[in-house]
Amino acid sequence: MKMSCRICLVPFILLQLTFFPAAVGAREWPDKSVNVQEPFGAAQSGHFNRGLSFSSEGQRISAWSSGEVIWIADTGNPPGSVPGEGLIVLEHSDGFRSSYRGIERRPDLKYHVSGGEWLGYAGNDVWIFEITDVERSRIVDPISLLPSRNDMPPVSIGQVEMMRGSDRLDIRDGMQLTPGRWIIIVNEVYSDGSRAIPVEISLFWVGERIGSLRFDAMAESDEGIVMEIPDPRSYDFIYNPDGQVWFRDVLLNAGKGTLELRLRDETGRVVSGSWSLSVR
Amino acid sequence: MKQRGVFLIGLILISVYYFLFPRGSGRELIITPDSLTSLEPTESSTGFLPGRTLAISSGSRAGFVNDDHELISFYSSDKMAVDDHWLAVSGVGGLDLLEPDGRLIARIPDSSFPVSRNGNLYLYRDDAGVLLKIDPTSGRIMWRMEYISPVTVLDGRQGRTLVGLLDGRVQLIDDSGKLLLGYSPGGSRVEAIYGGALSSNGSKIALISGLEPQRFILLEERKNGFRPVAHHNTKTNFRRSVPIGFVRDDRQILYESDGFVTAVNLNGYVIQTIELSGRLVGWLDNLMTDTLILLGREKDDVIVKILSRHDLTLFESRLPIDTTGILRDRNYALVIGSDNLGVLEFSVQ
Repeated sequence: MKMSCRICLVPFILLQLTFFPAAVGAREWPDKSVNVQEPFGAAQSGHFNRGLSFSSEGQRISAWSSGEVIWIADTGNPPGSVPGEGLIVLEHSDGFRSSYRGIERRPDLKYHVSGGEWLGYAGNDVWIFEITDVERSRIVDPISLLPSRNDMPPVSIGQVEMMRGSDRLDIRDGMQLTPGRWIIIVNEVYSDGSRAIPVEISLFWVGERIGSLRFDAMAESDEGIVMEIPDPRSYDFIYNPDGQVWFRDVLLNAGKGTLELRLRDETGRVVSGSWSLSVR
Repeated sequence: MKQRGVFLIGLILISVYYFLFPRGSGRELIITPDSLTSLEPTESSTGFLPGRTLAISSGSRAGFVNDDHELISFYSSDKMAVDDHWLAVSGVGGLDLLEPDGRLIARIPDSSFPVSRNGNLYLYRDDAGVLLKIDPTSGRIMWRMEYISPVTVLDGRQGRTLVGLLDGRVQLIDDSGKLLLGYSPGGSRVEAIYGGALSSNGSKIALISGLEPQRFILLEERKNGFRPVAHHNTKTNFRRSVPIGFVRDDRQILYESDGFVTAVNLNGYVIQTIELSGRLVGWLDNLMTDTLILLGREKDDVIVKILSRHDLTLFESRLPIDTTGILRDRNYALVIGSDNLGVLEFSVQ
């Protein structure tokens, strides 16, 4: 008898999951997933992008998951408020807070919203979706907490440059370099949003990993906001003044070898590029 | 015996009359309309003469008036902050820090929002969580902070800056960038800071924090640092910035409540309510004979209310719907609208 009751529960739970996803804490894209313009951690005028930037002017923006509105900053702010209009923050029961920055709130927004319930319209500029892990005091990459985008084309590797002093050379197969410390610049890590988002960039020299950048979460430190890679790394460590990803102090000893760049994207796929170099 | 009874009853009646019935003091508060000035953006200094200037701002416009409340200059920008001694305008090339006469003090290559608080200048970039304090006399960056949480409260007095954050933290920072206080009130289901103010000498901090319950907290500086000295539940659950401030020489704290204003008298920690229609959008204190002026905004109305030193209503009236704020200048109240500046003179006769 007990067994039959348990069997009865299975279709009931499946029914709940199918028709009432919000009730079981389902997480949804707050905007169309193809509207992503800039990923988490991208360079934004000298700062890390703290979330996913979307471009979808006038489109409805919805709640990532069910939660409670805890902050609204809009044109009705009392005089003397700290600037920052168009911000809605939700608190979720699983220890996360989600922020929707740059949106026009719907007038009849209620304080308790379900996942997928619309919050407002995207403003005329990009709007930014952020997720904060309150317990751990970190801003996390939303892409890791959203339904996966397996249909996105894989990442592509842009131009890679070798730099020392005033010398700046495009990397190519069979290139000859002098031994010593080099700066390796990786261009166009982030595409225009038409491809999957890279979440880890690694550099290998003769099979040994010599550098790795992972964009999982950022936190406060004495030096400001740092990316946890997992060691804290500042913006200046990851990006050069032009906003390009760079690996500094890459030591190349004399000899022949292969330099390999690997990009792991949001779906777990790895794309790599390699170049045979002669260092002497 | 009968005469004595009549005398005693008469004495009682006189005492009752003397102590209970109000008497004219012979001094009355007179409010006289003084002038009305049109606020037209000039974008440059016009008719500037050396002398005292008073900063005015209305929405996305700001500028200066002279001693006679005549408009000297008026600027328009979405990112602007103004003080009696400077104006900060954010543009494409960065932030221009200007003298009241329009002369450039400094150009700062930053497109953040400028914020003015009691003579202090801050730059806040909300999408990056970056807060800078700027020396308004030179444009020098005094300190820089980066936060993972939105800044919800910012106040500055006596070389101290109060920062409140949506994650429930409060910081007090001195002009060298040293953290004087790191505090999290706690005690609510949702931790967040919704309102905060520093007293004029920087030794007291009033806060509105949390949801369910939303709480008022007063911190006071003692020998061994800041300590919470009073708190109570506000019976509100605002999910936006809550106006709060010290008034009457720091003897009273005002904050917005649901449909009224709560006044906390620090002498004895007496809490009282002041009726005010709509949301609290501004106040003026000590204009004349310890009066307090409150500005409230309802959907289609702006209400001004003048209170006596005992918080009794002296005057209540509607103001034009485009009224955005109210300022004090000596014994004048400047009512700022989106297009006009109205000046009221207060006197006692």
